[in-house]
Amino acid sequence: MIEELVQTMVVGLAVGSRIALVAIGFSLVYRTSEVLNFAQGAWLLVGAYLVHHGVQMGLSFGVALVLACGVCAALAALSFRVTVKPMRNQPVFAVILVTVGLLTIARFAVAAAWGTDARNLGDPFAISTVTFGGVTVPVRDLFTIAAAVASVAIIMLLLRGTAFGLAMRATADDREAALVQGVRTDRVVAMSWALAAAFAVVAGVAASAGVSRLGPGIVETSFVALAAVVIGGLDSPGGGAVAAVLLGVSQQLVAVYQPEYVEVLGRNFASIFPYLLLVVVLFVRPYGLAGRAEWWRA
Amino acid sequence: MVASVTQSSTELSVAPESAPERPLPEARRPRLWSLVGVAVVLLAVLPVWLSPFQRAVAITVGFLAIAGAGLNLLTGKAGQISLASALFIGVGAYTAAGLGADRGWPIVLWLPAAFIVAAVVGALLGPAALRVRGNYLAVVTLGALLMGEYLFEQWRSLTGGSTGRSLGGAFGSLDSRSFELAGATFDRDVGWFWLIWAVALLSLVAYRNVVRSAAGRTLQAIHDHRGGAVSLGVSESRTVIAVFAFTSGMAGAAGALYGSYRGFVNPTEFGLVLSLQVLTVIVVGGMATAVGPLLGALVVGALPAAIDSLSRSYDLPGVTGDLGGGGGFITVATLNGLLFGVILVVFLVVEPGGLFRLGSRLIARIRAKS
Repeated sequence: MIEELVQTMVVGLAVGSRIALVAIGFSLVYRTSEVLNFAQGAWLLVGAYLVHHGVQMGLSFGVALVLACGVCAALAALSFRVTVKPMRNQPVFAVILVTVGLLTIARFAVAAAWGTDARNLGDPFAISTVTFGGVTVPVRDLFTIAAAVASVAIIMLLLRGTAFGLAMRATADDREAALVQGVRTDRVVAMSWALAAAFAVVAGVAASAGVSRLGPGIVETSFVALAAVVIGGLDSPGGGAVAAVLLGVSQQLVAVYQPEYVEVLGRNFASIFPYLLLVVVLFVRPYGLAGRAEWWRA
Repeated sequence: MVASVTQSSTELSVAPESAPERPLPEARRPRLWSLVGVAVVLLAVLPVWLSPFQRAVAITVGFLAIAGAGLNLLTGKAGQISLASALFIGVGAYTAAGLGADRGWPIVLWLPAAFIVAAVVGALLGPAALRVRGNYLAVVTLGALLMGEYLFEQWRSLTGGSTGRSLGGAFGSLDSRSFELAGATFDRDVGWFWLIWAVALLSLVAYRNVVRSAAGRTLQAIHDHRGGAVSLGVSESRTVIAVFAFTSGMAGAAGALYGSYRGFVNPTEFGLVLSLQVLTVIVVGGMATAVGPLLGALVVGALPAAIDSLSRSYDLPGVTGDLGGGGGFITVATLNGLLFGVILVVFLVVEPGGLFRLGSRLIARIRAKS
């Protein structure tokens, strides 16, 4: 009983880490370019399929993962240059629509290239598990948690410890002031898009590795991450990541216990649970749990 | 605001007898009604000339024009982004299913009911829309869409779950293969064409009239400068909730009609792809213009049909036809989805004014040359 609970929490932590990987990307892009880049889901999808393709071609899983991250990062930077950058003077909803359009293009392009049937990612985790004191955890979930922790560490070091990170924070705070100081802001913004895409690829791989299969449905992770960043506050990467982990754990708890105890809510209720939580948070704290109040009126 | 003031002063000098407090709508009315008259005559004779396939396409175009007119008011005019159009289209379709097909209500009851039920659901989104905007609103409406899809799949007694349901019998005489009117026999689809296009014309006129009314100016004021509008006594909450309710009702009516025409609906149809199609309609046509949804609906409705019929008669390179021809890498449905995405992105980046602005620029150039 208690072991089942602990196990659910650990798996939930992995689910939350996966969501957090995408959520950090959302916040990063939002901080530098003030748009919620719906196309994040595209890199999740394209990246996972590229890894699958690479392994099929005979590459090792690690090499395929690094290559997929690089390709998607380059594509994301390109998508910023070609679509969002020329739209500087357009209203924000037009820019959001463009990113939704990019997501659509990616979804159908992936369907054209690889079909919609579930596939095997080709990861080394398979169904192997590790057992600590009666609690069994899939290796895939340990990989996910480790990848999320590593990504957070990378982003912290980058933002706090490098000149590039300083340029990025300056651009996020005041683009024009940064421009005047000689920061090449467009390059910084493009880099933030690239970095966010690489994180999304890791999330996509985590979502389709192990016992999960690779399919078009993994894009849902990015929709849950959207709820997480809004709950956590769009302008706060930390808030978004914390909200993502909490959301993952509670979603997993709902997935395991709701069919048993509150059957009336229907099958697969956990899939919409994040949005219900989002609605509640919006009415209590509209600017998110960690967001600053003035961002709400902007 | 400025443009309307100067325009009304010139109208006043031409027609000084018109009511001074609201001169603009009065002065323009004859031109609008003559346009509507021409459209009515055209639409009355058109379906008889079209082939059955073209008629089906034209009905889809009409459906998209109704849904587009609603979203155009909400997103184009009021600036409220919504990814939830498909939710309201679904609510309308299932209202028609529950009341028309299951309980045998006549269309004069289930069509207004579909409008009202969708409007009530839309009004529920209003309070959320008041708390967030822009980026946040996109997420909230996406969440509403996904929750709606879930609800449709769970509510099996009404929706048939993931297997879908039939809407047969929702519309008495039009459900038979043919019907008689004034001594002549018409095909079922001719009746549906007339019905859907009558509502489409009505929604385009409704869009124009709302925009030119006090309510439209209030919307514009909140869009342009919310603080200023509120300080002048505009009730923001009432306006935003009202516009959500009204435009959702229009989407609901569109869904009720189209679902009944098709005779079959499945919960998975009311997802992000359908919402995106309606968004593409208003972007391609020209946001915040009265004829925009019509132009956009023509493109979005006719393009898949054109590709579909081309793939039947020719062997398009790389495309797998529905008849199983050729070893292509892309199916017609996937190609269509891909094209919507590309069209949406290209128009937003290159010509955000849509076909309307493209057309008016072309006309201006031709006039300048002659």
